[in-house]
Amino acid sequence: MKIAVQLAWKIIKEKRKRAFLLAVSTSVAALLLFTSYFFIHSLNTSMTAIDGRLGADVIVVPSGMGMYAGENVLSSSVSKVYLDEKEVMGKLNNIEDIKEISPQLFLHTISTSCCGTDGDFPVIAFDPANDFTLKSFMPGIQQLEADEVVIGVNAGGDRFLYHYDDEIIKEKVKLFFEPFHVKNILFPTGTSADETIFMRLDKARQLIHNVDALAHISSTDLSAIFINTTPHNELFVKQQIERDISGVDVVLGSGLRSKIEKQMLPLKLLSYVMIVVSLLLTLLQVITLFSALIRERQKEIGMLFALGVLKRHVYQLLLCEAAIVSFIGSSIGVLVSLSVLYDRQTLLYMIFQLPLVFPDLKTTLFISFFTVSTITICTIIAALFPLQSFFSREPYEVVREGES
Amino acid sequence: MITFEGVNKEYWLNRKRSIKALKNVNFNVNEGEFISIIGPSGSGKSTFLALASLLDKQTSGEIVIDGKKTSHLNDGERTNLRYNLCGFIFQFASLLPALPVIDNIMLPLLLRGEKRSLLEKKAKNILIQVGLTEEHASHLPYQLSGGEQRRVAVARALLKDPPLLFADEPTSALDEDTARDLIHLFHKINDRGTTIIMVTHDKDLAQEGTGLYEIKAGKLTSIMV
Ligand SMILES: Nc1ncnc2c1ncn2[C@@H]1O[C@H](COP(=O)(O)OP(=O)(O)O)[C@@H](O)[C@H]1O
Ligand SMILES: [Mg+2]
Repeated sequence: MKIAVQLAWKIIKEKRKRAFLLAVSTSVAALLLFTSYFFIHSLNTSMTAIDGRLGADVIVVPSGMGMYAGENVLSSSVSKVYLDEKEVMGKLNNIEDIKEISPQLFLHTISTSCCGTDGDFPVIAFDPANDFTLKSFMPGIQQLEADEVVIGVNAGGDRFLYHYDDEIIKEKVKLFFEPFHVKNILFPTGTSADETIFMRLDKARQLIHNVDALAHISSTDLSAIFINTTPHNELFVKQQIERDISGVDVVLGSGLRSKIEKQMLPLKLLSYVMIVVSLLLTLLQVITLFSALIRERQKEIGMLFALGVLKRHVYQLLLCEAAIVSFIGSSIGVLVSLSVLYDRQTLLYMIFQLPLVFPDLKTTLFISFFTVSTITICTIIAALFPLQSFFSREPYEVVREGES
Repeated sequence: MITFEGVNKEYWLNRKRSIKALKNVNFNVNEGEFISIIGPSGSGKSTFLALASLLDKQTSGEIVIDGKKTSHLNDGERTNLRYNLCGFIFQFASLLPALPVIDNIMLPLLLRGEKRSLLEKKAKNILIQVGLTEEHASHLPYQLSGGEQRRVAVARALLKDPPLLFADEPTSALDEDTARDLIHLFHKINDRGTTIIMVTHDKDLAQEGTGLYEIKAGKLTSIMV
């Protein structure tokens, strides 16, 4: 085996032009396979994340506000009616089927300029530690500091994107006479979160005391409480809350999750189809190319049989050639698509406007390895096709046919 | 060493038409002989050589090599017998164009798992025996003349010391002097005990062996020298 690899490598080096075409076709196939696998992976990760909080199962709002309750943030038409945290939270904590509770407080809609974008932006406070509604739209949101805010894409976020991965540029925005750093932007959500500026709840409660415009809010007020329940118990939880707590509206989430999943399905299917097609194409391409190469070298092959080389050793040599070329080709393909994908990460965010979560290093390595080995194995299988015609033939026949 | 008993070879062109390339051939060669075979082109000389060296299978009849009947052997057994007993020099250029001379010579043995380091010295020796130099070892086939390439093919056939050497028109496409040198080399090899069967169309060269046969339209006849 070692000698077959050595000899194959010598042959490839000497006949570079011949190997080139095979290498190119495998690298194109690897590029396709890697990219589509990469996107599928990103989509799946994003989906899982979205699943986490996209749309609370149950939303608790002050009485009369039920019709305005949004899926993951307060809708912008919030009025100045509040829930009392002390009264509500304790009771909610006693309901068994509640899994997660995430409170939000609407402060004010301010007209300001944020990251060079002018507009009226609702400012909402949330509790990063308990949040499940926003976290998948922004990795690392749990680490939000008191003097930092997170902004939606339409609240200047699209501008921020241009230097998304630039750590040095820090945008600042002044809210309620205090400066805040823009820590990051949310991926587009398609909800009113896209226009919103988010800050920490504890910071907001500090501000209440100092800012006249917020004087009407008391330090235990909340605007809405988003709740995730154990599976299939939404209705049951809603009934319990309505029974136990007075003065609130309880709204069921609209099943945004399944809606999004349905929307994602064609994209996912497309990627899977791309994977299958790219593999089939590789197989076909390699079969065609290799058949031509084998035909061209048939005399050589027959000669080896004639010299008493066992058929399996001849196949080993030729398959080594195919495998080496394909390994190199597909590695190049993966490297090219890797560099394009990562180099243009920000661009991709902007094009797709989707919460694409890029795979971490380990997963990326895995996908690379998967791609290279799949393409290489496919090439070996494809290369077997033209060789198989020699299985049952006499060397002299092979040589004579290869001569003409 | 090799015995043909009523051997026929028929090539099927399609389902209905066939060519009878060898007809009821009986033949025997003993160890140490140097047999020449002559005949017009298309008469079946190459076919005969291919059958004798197990490169092809007869349609009927028996071929006995080194005391072994070969008609019922499977592909692997035939390959091994060929590897162990036969060296073959083709009528045409037969080197792997992508490999240097030394690798070409050692290729069959390397693929059988023999150590490169052990073979290399012997291969270079043989290179000198066939009239080339050690410098040729790293050349690629296209960098050699036709005669030199033929010599490399001879060296490749000799490396595993086969008791039987087959040569199909080894002097074709060679000039007269080069051809003479090559035949001279064959005689040296034959003197060391290797049995040689050579196809040629050069009547003068053919006279020099220990036996002479002629094939005409698939029929083999012995010509007394
Ligand atoms: N593979 C083959 N298929 C069909 N006919 C063949 C094949 N090989 C040889 N023949 C025919 O068999 C006859 C003998 O061929 P060959 O042994 O090559 O002749 P020679 O070597 O004496 O010139 C020729 O008529 C040739 O056309
Ligand atoms: Mg011939």
